[in-house]
Amino acid sequence: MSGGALSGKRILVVEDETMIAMLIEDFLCDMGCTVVGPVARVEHALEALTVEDIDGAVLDVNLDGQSSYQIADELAARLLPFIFVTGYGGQGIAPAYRDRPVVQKPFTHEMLEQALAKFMSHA
Amino acid sequence: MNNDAAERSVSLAQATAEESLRQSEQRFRALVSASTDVIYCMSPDWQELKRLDGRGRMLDTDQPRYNWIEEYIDPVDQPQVWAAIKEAIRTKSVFELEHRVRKMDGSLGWTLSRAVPILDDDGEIVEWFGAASDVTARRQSLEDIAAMHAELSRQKRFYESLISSTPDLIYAFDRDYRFNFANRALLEMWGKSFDESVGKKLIENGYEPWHAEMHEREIDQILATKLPIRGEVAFPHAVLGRRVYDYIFTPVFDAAGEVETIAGTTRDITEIRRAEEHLKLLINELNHRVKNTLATIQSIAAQTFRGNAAEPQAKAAFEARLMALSDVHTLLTGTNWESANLREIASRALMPFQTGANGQDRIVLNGHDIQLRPQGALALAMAFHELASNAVKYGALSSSAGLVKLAWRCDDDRLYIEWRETGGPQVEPPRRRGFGSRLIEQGLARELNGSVELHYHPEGVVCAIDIPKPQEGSPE
Repeated sequence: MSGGALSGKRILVVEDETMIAMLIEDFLCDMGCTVVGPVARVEHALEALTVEDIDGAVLDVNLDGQSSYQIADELAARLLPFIFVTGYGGQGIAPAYRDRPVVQKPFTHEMLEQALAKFMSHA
Repeated sequence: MNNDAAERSVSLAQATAEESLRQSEQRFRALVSASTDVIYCMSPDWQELKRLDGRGRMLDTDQPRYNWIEEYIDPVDQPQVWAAIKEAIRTKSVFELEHRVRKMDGSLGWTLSRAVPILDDDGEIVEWFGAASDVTARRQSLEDIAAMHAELSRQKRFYESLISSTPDLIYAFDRDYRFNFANRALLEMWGKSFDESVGKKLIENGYEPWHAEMHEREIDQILATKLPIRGEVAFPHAVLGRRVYDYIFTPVFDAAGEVETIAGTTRDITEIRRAEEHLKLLINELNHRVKNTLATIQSIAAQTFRGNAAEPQAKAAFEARLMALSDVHTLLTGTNWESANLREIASRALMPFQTGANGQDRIVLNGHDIQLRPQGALALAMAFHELASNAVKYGALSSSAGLVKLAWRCDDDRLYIEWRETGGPQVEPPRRRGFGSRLIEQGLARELNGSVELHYHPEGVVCAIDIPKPQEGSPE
C-alpha cells in the first residue's frame, strides 16, 4: 500500500481506546504513513504538536469525556490538516467543526484512506 | 219646622242612612267576591273558625269548627301560628303572618294571612275578620333562587379550589388585553397580589415588550378567528429562573356569541423538556458506545487475522458484515430505534454493491414506503448484504450484464419481498450451505416469523420472503 499520496506522511493519532488506536495505527502503517502517538489525552496531543514534526492528525472526538476540539483549534492555527473519527453521528460534532471531514466508527481501511487522501491533497 | 216635617226629615235621613249602609254592604260583598284571597272569620280567642271561603284552593268551612288548626295548619307550624295569634289578641292589633297552609289537594302551600279585630264599644274583640293571599309561587321562586344560589356558590368553591391548587397558571384577559383574572400560581410567579395585577396589561405586570406584544397579537387573532391558539415560550420566573411554558388561549363567548374574555392556561414543561433532552443524550451516548464497541471488535478481528494464514477474503467478508450491521444501526439511531423504512434499509445495505464497473446502477428497488421495526430492519439488512455478497461472488453481480430486482408489496396482513437476479452466469446450487444462505433461509424466517425460500434457478437466484406485515405504531 505504500507509495500512495499518504506515503511518508507523519500522522498524529489521538484516540483513547487502545483497540481502536491499534486499528488506526495498522491502517495508517498500511498506507505508508508514520504514526505519531497514539496519544489518549488532550495535553499529550498538544505536547506532541510542539515537539513532533507532523503532517496531519486523526482525532477521536470524545477522549474519555473530554473533547478534542482544543487540539483541532491548535492544528487549524498551524494550518495542519486533520480528520475526526467518532462513534457519534455527524450531529455529534460541534457546529463549528462540521465542515471538517468525519469518519464514522466503525470504518474500513478504505474509508479512512479516502478521508485522509482528500484533505492531504488539499493541504 | 213642624213635627211632621221633622219626622219626615228624620225618616228621610234614616232611609238615606239605611240606603247608604245597604250600598256599603253591597260594595263590601262585591269586594270580597272580587278578591282572590281566602276570607275567614274567627272568634275573639281564635278557638272557633266561624267561616272560611277557600276560593277553591282551600277547603271551605260553612259551619263553625274548633279543630280548624288541625285541618289547615301542619303540626310543625302550629306553635309559630299560635304565637302570632296570641300576640295579636294581646295587643288587639292586626294579625299578620306568612305561613304554610294545607291546600285542597293535601299539599302545603304558602299564604300571607292578615286579620283585623272587630271591637265593640267597650273596646273588646267581637270577632276577627281575615284575608289570606296565596304566596306559594313567590315563596317557590324565592326557594328556587336560593337553591340556585347555593348550587352556584358550590360550583364556585369547587372551581376556585381547583384553580387555586393547580401548579398551572390560569388567567383571563378582557378584549383590551387587561388581565381580569389570575390564579394563585400566576400571582406567585409574578410575586404580586390579585389587586396589584388585575386590570393591568402584560407589560404592566412585568412582561418584556416582545413577550407582551406576542400575546396581544395572539389575543387579536382570537378576537378575529374566535378560535383557540396554543404556543410554547421560554421566559424568566420570578423565583425559579428561566422556564419553558406551554400555553393555550381560548375564547369565552357571551350570550350573543361574541368573545367577551380570553381565558388562558399555561403549563411549565421545563422538566419534561429536560427529561427529553436527557433521554436524547443517553441514546446518543449509548449509540456512541455501540459504535465504539463495533470498532473494537473490528480491531480485535484485524489483530487476530494479522500475520497468520487467514485468507484476506475472510477478513474482508468479516469487515463488510460488520459495516452492514453498523449501517443499519445508524439508520435506526436516526429514529430513536423506533422503526426504519424498508427502502432505506435496502439502499444502505446494497450501497457497496450498487454501482457496476461501468458506473451503471445494477440493483433496482421497487415498492411502496413501509416502516419496519428494529429487529426486522436488522435481520433484513444483514440478509440483503449476504444476498448481494453472494451475487457478486457467484451470481448476477459477477457479470457486467447482471441485474438484481428487489421488489416488495403488501396486502392486508402480509409483506412479500422478492430478490430476483437476472443476466448473470448460469446458476448451480451450492454444494455446501454457507453462512449467507443459512442466515437468509433459517435465521431470517425465524426472526421475522415468516417463510423464506431461496431458489437457485439456472437463470438467476430468487429469494422470496413472506412475513407478517409490520403494524404501524405497535410496540416491539
